[in-house]
Amino acid sequence: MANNAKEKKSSGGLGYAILAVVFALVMLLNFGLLNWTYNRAIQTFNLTSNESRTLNSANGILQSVNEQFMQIVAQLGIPQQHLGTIAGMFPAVKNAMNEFESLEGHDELAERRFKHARAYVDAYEQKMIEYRTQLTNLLEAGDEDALNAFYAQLPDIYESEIAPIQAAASQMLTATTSIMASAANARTVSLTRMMNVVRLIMLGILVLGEIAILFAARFRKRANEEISRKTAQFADASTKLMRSREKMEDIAVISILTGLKNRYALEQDLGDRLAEEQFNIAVFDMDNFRSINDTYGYEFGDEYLAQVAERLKTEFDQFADIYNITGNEFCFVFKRTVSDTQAIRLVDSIAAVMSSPYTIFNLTVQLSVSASTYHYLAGDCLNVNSLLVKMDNVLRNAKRAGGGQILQVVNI
Amino acid sequence: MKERESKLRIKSMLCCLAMLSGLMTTACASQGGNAGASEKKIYVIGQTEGMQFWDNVKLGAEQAAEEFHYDMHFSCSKSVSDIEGQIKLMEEAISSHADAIVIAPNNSDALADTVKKAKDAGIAVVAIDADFNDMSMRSSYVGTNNLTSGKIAGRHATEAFEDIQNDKVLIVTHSETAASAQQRVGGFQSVVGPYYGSQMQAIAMAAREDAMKQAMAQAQAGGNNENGENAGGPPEGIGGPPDGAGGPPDGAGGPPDGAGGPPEGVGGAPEGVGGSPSGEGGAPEGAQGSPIAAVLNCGGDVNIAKAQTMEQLKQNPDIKIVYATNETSTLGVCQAIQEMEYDPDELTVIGFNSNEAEIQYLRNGVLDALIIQHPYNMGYLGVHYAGQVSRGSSVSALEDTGSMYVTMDNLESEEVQLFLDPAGFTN
Repeated sequence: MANNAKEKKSSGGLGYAILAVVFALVMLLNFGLLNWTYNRAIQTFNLTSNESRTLNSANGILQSVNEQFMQIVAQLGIPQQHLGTIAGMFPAVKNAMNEFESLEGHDELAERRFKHARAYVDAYEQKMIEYRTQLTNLLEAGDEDALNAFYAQLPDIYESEIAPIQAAASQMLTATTSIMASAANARTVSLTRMMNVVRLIMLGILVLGEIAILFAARFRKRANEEISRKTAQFADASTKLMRSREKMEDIAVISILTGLKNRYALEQDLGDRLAEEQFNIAVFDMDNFRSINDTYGYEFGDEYLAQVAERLKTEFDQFADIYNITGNEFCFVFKRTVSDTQAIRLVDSIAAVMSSPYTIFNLTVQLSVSASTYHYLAGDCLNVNSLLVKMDNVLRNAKRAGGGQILQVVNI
Repeated sequence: MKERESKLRIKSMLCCLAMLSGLMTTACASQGGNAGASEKKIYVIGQTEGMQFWDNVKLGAEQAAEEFHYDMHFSCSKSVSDIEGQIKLMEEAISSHADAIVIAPNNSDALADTVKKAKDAGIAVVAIDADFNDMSMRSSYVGTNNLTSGKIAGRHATEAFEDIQNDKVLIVTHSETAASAQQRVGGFQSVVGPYYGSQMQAIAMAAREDAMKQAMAQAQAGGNNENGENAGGPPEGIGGPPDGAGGPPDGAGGPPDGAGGPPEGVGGAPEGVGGSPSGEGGAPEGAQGSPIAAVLNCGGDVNIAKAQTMEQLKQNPDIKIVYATNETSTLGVCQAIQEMEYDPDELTVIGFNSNEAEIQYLRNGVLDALIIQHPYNMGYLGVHYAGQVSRGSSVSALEDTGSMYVTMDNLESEEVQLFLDPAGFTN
């Protein structure tokens, strides 16, 4: 039984332990996710910044190239200087684009657009090289007519061959930046959502934890209440048991008929005193009580005894412990406070009370009483039984002498 | 009993936790999957069904929609003259609650009410290929600068004149109303007209100088001449610049900026079909001083272009240069020339756009040159900008996608291939 309870208790504890471990694991997972989300957000931000920087740089340089070429078309400044500047700009464009390509984590679609842009940039560079070479050769040759003819064609060349490619390169580079920004934005939105979800999970766990604590507290309270209730029940049962035991004990030592202590009680009370104490004791017996039973029945006799006992209790309870040792035999053990002389007087009084008339069921009856008294000295008897035998013998003598007599046990 | 109940409660709590975690994870996954998705709905409305030009526009539009995560719907009207068809397609887009409409208007004015309706419904409008006359009707125009492309064609056409006094130019355009057609013709004429004028003026000057020299020589050689009083003047009919040749004639030169309304020469095109030089424009005075034999409008129909070209070429053998302003008109012209078995050297033909049949005509010499546009970029940037406008971002009001002059000399170059074969560089 005890083992069973122990097992139950330990399985309940295991449940809470599992719950705690699950909470801890989920929390740990959430912290991990939060950390991962944060790192991803930082990575996205860095990647987007670098992508935009490199592409904007490439695009900006391309526009500068275009401006330089437009100055050649408009025949502003020194063409050789413009050509030199243009020649120096393309490596920078290439560097920016290579740097872009070396970055990891591009959006696949942005990559496709970038390749398209790169094709235009390459074509643009080829065109530039073609016309730069042509113009350089003409400038070196110093042929004014040929140079003028070339300059005359340049606006047309610019419009139909250079500008469209430059514009397309620029448009595709800008589009690539937009795709990346859009992808980064989508990633950021996704990460933000994920972060919110993680936060929500954490909040959920905390709320569930709180609920669990509340439930646990409630269970504990209920369990305590149950224990208290059971303890109270036990205490109640225990009290009842004690009372019934007392009752039983009472029943064992008290005469049911008269409510006075019986012979067993006398033995219990007096047993220990016999060896060391002296006291006055008297046994009274109503003469011919049997004739009452025989004449009026036991019920009448019982009632008669009950009334006698009641009067004895009322009048002598303060002077002596009263015992109803057999049906009509009463024993008085006088208290230490009652002197020997007083005891003798009280014996007379008792005899007078007992032999006085009693009205039982509207009939008045009166019986004489015989008594034996004994001034007991320590060690006179070994036990109560021998004491009573002694006294009964004296009592019997009194009855033989006609009854209504009080005889004293003489110490031998 | 109580023990069992409490166990059940713990179990149910654990289940709740697991379900919650599961829900969150699902939410995470679904959100992650949808993170890039956008609900922007963009309708792209082209001009002519079945044209390769619009297929390339569609390809660009599709790739932009893919890259920017838009829901793109592409459609075309039946032909460039199908204005009702375009209005219907726009109405469909409006009723479908589109976020943006990308359109190549067949007729700027006829679409005005529908465009206004779209704008009132909060739909962004972006024009591609052909612009609206009223630029406030659209947020951006993405396409060829048609005036510039017309000028490029015109500059190369001027190189093809062998006999400036007699050589004539035939223009076959695809629409009277589409701004793209008007501007391509206008740009072309703005170059050819002044060139013709300056050349004719130079010839006239030279002739006058010759006449004066001749007169002076005669005076010196004639000595006593009773009619000497007349000797100093130029002979009749030669003196002074001829009426139409002295400057850019109205009908040929077009408006100086070329972008405004249709040039007079285009507006009067139907009358010009007659083949008479006087019929090429609404300005009779320009007829004498213009190399433009006629401006024909095929309405975007290859067969009409072919029939009109054949008729013109038969009626006017002086036509040495033919300029066609779009795919259908170019194909019609090429078919006519092929059917009439012209010697490739007899005619200089400059076409527009770059479908496979046109490239083939270029390869076999029927065509001398093509002005190619960048339809892929029009579709791509059109959708890209439309998406941006619908999101409230500002975009360039005018985005020139460029045009290139392509001959057999540069057909295979990378820059031309970038324009001709966008799929080859993006797939």
